[in-house]
Amino acid sequence: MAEVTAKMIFDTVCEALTDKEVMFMKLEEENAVTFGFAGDNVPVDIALFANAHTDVLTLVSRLKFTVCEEKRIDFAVAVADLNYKMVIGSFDFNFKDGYISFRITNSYRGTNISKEVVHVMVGNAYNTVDKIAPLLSQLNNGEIQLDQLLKMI
Amino acid sequence: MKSEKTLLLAQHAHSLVKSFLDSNRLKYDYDDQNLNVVLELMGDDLKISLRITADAENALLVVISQLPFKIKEDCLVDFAIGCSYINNIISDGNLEIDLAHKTAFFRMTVSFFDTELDIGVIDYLISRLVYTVDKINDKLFMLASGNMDLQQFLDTKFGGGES
Repeated sequence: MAEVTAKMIFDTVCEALTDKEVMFMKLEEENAVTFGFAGDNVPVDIALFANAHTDVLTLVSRLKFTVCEEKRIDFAVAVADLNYKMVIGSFDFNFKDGYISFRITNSYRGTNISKEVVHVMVGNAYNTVDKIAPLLSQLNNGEIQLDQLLKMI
Repeated sequence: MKSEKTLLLAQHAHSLVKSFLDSNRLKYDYDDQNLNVVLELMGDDLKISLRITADAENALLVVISQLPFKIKEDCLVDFAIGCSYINNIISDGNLEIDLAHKTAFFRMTVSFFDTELDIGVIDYLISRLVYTVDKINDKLFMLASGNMDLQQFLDTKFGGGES
């Protein structure tokens, strides 16, 4: 049953993206799609998948850079603060390997997910990553300091 | 984004939250004007406070739990790294820090944009949040108060239920 529901959500995701003329790649066995946008500031890659075990539709957008070791403490603090200021979604930062990604989840337990919800998830991810990733990249490159970043977000 | 339809969907979500809590005989305070509900539960170790808001502006049901302690200034960096670690192993929800007040929150959301929520999703959100917070809050408290160092925290087996 959970697998059937996940497949239905996967179909909704595909329809929602097709409606917006987004080109995407299907990974049907995983109820997942991947696609990308050029972005106004940075390229934004997105994966969306319906998890039949948890009944959660998850969007993940991994940022294009890896945080250098000497900046990882700053990033842990920056991400904790960023997440506090987010309305939808959150950043995940892996202190060990320096990977950073943006995640939005939406449970569909007992509830349908409309195409509009998919549009909202993708739109929010796009806007957030396109706006925040350049600032985080500047922090990583030492072009701005942590206290400057915290004032900017 | 707030339309008449979205407001109705927000009111529906707010009613569902109250119905769920009533059916589980949980006591709560509520504000029908601002569509929010607050309650407090006792976890295994610490109290778990919940604020559940149907945000009509963003068509979002937000469940947020403020952790019942402050983070010591000299523990803030370790605590932030600990939050990153937890956020990486959970599949839903996230920890976040109010740096100005040295307080931490766990937050989960679900969108009701053009969608009428079902009580199943309310059950999921509340149960999942309580389960996750109860599992991590004691160790986070120890990290925040300096009673556990970062390496001990990272070595903690939080179990496989989160991912």
